[in-house]
Amino acid sequence: MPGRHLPAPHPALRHRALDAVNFFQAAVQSGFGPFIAVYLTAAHWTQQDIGFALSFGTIALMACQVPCGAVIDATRHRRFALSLATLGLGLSALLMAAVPVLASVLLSQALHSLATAVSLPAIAALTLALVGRRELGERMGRNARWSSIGNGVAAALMGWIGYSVSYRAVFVFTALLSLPALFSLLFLPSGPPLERHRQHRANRAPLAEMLADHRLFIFTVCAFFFQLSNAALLQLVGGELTAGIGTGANLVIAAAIVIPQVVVAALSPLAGRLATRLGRKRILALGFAALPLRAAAFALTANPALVLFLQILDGVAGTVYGVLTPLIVADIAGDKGRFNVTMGMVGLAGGVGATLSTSLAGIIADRDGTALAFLALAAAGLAATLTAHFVMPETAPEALAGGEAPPARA
Amino acid sequence: MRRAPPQVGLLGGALSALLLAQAPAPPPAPPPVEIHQVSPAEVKGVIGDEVVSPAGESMGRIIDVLVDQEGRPRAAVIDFGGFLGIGNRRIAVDWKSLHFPSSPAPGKVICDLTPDQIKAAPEYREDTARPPAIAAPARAAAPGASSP
Repeated sequence: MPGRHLPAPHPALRHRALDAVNFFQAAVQSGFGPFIAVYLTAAHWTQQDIGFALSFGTIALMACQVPCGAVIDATRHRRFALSLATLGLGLSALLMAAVPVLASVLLSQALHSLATAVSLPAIAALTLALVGRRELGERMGRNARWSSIGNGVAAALMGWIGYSVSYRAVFVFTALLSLPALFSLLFLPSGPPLERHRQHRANRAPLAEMLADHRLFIFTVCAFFFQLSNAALLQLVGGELTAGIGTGANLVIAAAIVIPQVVVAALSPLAGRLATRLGRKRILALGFAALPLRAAAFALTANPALVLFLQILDGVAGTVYGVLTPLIVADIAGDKGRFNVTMGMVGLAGGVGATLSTSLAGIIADRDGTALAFLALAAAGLAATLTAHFVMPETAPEALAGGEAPPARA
Repeated sequence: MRRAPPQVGLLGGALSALLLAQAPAPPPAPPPVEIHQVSPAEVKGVIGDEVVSPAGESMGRIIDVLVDQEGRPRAAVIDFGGFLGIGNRRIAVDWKSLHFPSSPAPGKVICDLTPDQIKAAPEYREDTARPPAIAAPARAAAPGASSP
């Protein structure tokens, strides 16, 4: 818990700052993604080129995640890394706004992927440094709440800007959002003192030891199946809604996007507390169980009211995935100096699952109908739940329940 | 010596280029490209253009044009509906039910299909073996409009 020994005049202020960091990072990072396709379409791009640019971003993110995690593990200057990533996100948005030509769009996508691969683990690492392992559950819940609010507010503002001003203005707005995101970083500790960092590095577990940890392997399998099930669900049900109700579908789909965000914002702190009190495994299996339930229900109904109700389950599963992932990774790798690279590995497994999810669901829906596609996604969700329940061991250190933080690896 | 010195190669190249340039001389040089001056009001690109209902509500964007064997446009693939990229549907709409007015809203394409007709139309798929289905209002269903 390096942060504790830094001069900390106002711990409450730092918590507020961390709220703001999560809010603005989420807004800048996930904000403009949904607008890229329509922006490039309006700029007379063909769908093939748009598909290529988007896949390029996805592949770049997967390629960056693990190496970026390793770099953040190695550096003492996490806050600086996060500011660079924030600048990268802003620059990526500006490039997209400047000229929609292939070179600048690909560069923008590459920058965005690189920055995302840094910012996601770096926020969690700064949080870990700020509060230590014992309060991590509570704090990760609060992080997830503010990310979700940031996502929701940014999506609403950008939707409004895209509709009433222009799509280009959405990207300019995103770039402007990176300024408050940078400002909020000033209130966090910059990094551990040099001696502590050297000591920490000297005590680092070899990467091979991490890779041999069966808990890490099982959890990456969980993350893979979770995203394999989850990623295509909203897209698929959105298509059903549009086919079923025509023009009014836009409002229903907007609600289907917003509802889980609200649920995540409401439930995340509770999930963090429960994971500390009852252990990770139970909460993980319980939250994951919402996924196959929802997917199977979508196979039976595309009734708008029911779909919106089922989107609450999306929020439940999303809460648990968002809060428990950094917690479990901290359990596995936090004391071994390998937190960020491990976050990268779990993120990569989830990314592969998400990519496969949309293509597989598309193929099955095309060939055998959407009901079967939903059932296939439900099966993947069931695999995630069963893995979490029967195979995943409890990772919470017993010392957490007792009150004394576990000693750092010596 | 198996390789000619570079100068010889260069010379040979220049010579053959000269010969090649002179070879088609008997028939007069191919006519230069004919340039037709067309005012922007006459033709325009349509990929990415916004599609609106006759009442002016935004419906989607043209993402592709389907042409017949003579290259005449037969239908436009339009990306309809959705919110933030979720729930959009691609439908091939008969070319005859699209209008491209230069005023009052330049750059916007007017589509005759009602929301109910769009709802009923099958989704356009690019890479299936099935022939693409083209949607047109019932009254405009001229012979040949529904099967390619």
